[in-house]
Amino acid sequence: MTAALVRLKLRLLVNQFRRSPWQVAGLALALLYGAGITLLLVVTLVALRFAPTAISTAVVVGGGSIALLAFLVVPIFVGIDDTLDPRRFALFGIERTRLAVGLAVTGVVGVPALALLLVSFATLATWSRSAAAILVALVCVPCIVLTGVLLSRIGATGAGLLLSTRRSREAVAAVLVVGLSLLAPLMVLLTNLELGRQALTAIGSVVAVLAWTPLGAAWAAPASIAGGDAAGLGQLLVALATVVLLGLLWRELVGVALVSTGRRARPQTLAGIGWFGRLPATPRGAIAARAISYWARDVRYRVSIISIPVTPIVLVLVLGLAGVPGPVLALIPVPVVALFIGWASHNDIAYDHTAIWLHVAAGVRGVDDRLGRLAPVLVVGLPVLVAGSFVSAAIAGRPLLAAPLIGVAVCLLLAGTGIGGVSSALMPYPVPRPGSSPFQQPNSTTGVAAVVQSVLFLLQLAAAAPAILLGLVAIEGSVAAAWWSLVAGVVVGVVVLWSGTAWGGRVFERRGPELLASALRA
Amino acid sequence: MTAPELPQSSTDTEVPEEPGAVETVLDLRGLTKRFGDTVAVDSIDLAVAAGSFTGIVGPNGAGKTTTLSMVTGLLRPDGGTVLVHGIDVWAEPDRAKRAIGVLPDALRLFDRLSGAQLLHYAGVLRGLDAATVRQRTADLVAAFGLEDATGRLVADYSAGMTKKIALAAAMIHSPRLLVLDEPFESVDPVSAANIVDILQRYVAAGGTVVLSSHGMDLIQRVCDHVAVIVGGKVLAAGTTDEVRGGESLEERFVALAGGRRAAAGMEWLHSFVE
Repeated sequence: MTAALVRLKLRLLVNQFRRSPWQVAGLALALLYGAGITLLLVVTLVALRFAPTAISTAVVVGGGSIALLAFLVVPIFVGIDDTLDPRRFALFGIERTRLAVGLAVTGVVGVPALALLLVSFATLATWSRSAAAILVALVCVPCIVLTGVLLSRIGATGAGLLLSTRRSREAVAAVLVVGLSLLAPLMVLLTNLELGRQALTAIGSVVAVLAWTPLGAAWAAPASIAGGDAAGLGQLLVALATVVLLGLLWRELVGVALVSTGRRARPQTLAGIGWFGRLPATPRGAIAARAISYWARDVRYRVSIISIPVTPIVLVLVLGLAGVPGPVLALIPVPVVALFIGWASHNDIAYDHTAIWLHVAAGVRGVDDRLGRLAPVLVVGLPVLVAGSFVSAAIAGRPLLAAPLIGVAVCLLLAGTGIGGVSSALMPYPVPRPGSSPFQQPNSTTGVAAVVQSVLFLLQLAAAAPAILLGLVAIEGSVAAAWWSLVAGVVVGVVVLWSGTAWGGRVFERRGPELLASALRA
Repeated sequence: MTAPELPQSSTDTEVPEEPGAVETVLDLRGLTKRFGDTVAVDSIDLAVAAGSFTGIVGPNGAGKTTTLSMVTGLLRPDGGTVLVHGIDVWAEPDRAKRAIGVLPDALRLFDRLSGAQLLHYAGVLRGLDAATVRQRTADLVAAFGLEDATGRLVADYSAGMTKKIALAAAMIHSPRLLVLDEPFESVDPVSAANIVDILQRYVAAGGTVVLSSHGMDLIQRVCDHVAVIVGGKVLAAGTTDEVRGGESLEERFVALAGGRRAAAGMEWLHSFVE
């Protein structure tokens, strides 16, 4: 049983390399990256052999606890590796203990678990200060690996059981975005020197607590013994108990998973036809209504909506803590938001997945499709950016700078949507499918997507270059440059949007079947 | 059924419609599609007369969906032409597509819309005005028995309901030709009978239906014409009675598609596990 599952897992891993060259290249890059990090950690741990026990303990226990926490948390949010979800074995009638053991062992076969194995093995070198310490470390290595693997299996399966409804996943996704964005200023706070010194003493007491928790005990036991502290034996007991308890919990969870089909959400009901009734009943109006409904309802768009305002806030916080003066700071958010909003629509068609067939079969005019999709972006984006420009200029204490801000922002938004109108019809790349987690990027995106995304960013900035340069001159005090920046921004933006829509519309009409084909491959 | 009842023994049937006497609404000539080295559709010729109810049958992977996708403008052929009312679908797609209603198989819908929104969307994209869409949506919803589901997101529909709302969306612009890929898959028998009823009335009024299905009984009962596609080629086409030639359509189809696999060597299946 166990051997069969391990073979299945190995087969799945090998098959990852039997895909398109782009995917293989991305995978190889990820593996190299992982191998590099692992090597770095191993070298660090060996080097820590010669550091004072207190410092080695802090690094190993602190870092190790975070690593084990990641094993639990990452599968919950990212939903990785559900290929070996116990529910998939429900119909085979396998006894649950055997299945639980088999799946847990299979969990060791995988890049993260192998890295954990190597890294925890390297702690043998760190604690090669006494025979007793090595002996305890030798017991702790399998404890660490088993704890990590069991935590990740429990995280993935538990999340699968509890968060299987569409809306609960969406809620978790939204919370995660906000949480991650708030991490950045926290990092700045910590790297700030004065606070950092206080933090270091705080770390000592945190580590002392972690050493007795399930996450840190297995890392801490050899450290204590190496430092001549008999408490290490107690920590060893905690580590062993952790593995046993997690094993029992995992077995229990497999049992539950085998007989459950997941939660069902109560479907929501809409009265009437919403935006479709408010906008004109033309193809362009209907596509606009559909786009607005999706921006409001589809979690993949919602993540964009949340991250667009959060990004500049984080940026301002970080730069502010780094000591950039307030008036300069005030000018930053509006162009950044404009850049992101303008860029957001560059792969819009891919988000429809194969549903785009309806547009192809109905022979929708390309211009209608392009402009309809832009409606939410332009109708919401333009007023927000213009109002934001006035607010920013007021905060900076220089009302005249509203003119170049509007010029730059409008140009970035219009040029971005114009360029996106062409690229989304010409070079769609795969995105998360409708209804799946917005963080579940399809593997094939790595190569093509990165190229498309960065080229578009550069084109967008190039289009706005005149307005930006004139705006910089205006900051130096030129009144004329401020007005010319506004003119240049609006003119360039309108021209790029107009030509991009016309060109993108023709591309859409010509490539309709090919767009559907690429959605089918995604 | 428009085809005359014929003596079961006779295969020399009288063709009721002379070629050219009735307008040909759909005309495939030398239609070909390759995927890499495999030829999915191998130079298919097929003519469908106006007012006919044509079933396309074939084993899994025979090229039915590929053929129907090329007919509806969703998949670019490698060769050959598709004429709908004499209009080349791949030369003048806009004019041709107006006359076609499409139900594709295994493609998504815009399923974050409610049923009512999806029908509205389909109707307006096809150029209908708001009042017409509203009235037809009400009729379609009643006809397909979706009254309780119009406000729910299509993503929350069952498979059969999704099929029905997609079918309704395919009809909303009253096309001359309906191309339906597996319209009865996962639809319950009551709804299927309902759909057949709707389609038969549509055909009686002069519309044309081309559908694919695996339900041989249903096709034999409902369709007046049948085309059997195997391995990307049309092996038989004509009126249902011509094609089945005295046998049941299922028997004839299994024979054409390569016959039954002998079930030898499966004796272990009859000694049961503990």
